[in-house]
Amino acid sequence: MESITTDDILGKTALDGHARVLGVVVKMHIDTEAKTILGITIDQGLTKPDLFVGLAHVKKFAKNAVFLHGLTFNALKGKNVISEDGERIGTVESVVHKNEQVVSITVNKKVGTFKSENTHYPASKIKEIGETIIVRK
Amino acid sequence: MEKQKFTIADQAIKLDDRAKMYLTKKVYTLSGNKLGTVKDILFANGKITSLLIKGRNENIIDFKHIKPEINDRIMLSIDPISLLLGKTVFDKEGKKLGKVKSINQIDNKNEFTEMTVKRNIFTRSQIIKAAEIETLKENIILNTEY
Repeated sequence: MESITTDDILGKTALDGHARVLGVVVKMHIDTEAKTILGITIDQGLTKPDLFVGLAHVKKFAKNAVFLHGLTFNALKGKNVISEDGERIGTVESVVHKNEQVVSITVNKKVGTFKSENTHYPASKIKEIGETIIVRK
Repeated sequence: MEKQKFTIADQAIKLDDRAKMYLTKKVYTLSGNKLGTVKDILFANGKITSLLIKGRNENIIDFKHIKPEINDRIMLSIDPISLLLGKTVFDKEGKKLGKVKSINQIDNKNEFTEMTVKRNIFTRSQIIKAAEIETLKENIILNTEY
């Protein structure tokens, strides 16, 4: 069994499931009663708030980085959404998730200058999550 | 003679209409990544053979990879390997190896055998085989340690 110390974790780069660099690990959270690690906090830079990631979301504490499972749900907000045939739908306004899985997304579309409408897409309608999210019609 | 002139002009009008469907449209890959916009169209024997797409790089995409439904945007049925260029490569233990500088493509297919990765101008290039790639999304994570 290989063991590591906080020196090996703090200051390391955090990468999500899409190999996206989230930031640098700055804190480790420990449950003082159960004596277990609860998670880590990632410094995402000056323009974004710190991100807490639960231990269940951590895939691996590697020598030079911390790898996380999947995508952080915050990363989905603001992404453009298009349909399978290229029609622009809108941008992701909110994400509903459960047990580290996306359950649904709410997409906001501008209709006119001052109006906008929200459309709800369950996970079954999401075809691909990349730079842009592709949904099935 | 006049009948022949009319036929050629007629064909030119039809091609012009088709070309307008594609020119300046934004192009998205299979994974939903934006590739660029259509800058030019390549014809052969009166048929469209490929599209010239300009984004971060210039890509010539075979027309067979273009999905037939044209809307606000053009959708591809592939993720062009040219998208690998510029992506950051991390090894299995999270060590940053550098960025993809070039790709060794197989003939004219959308496949590659290896890629060249370089950290900066002071370091040597490294050749990474396609089989070593574990994750290929926003960046690249390998299944081996360097």
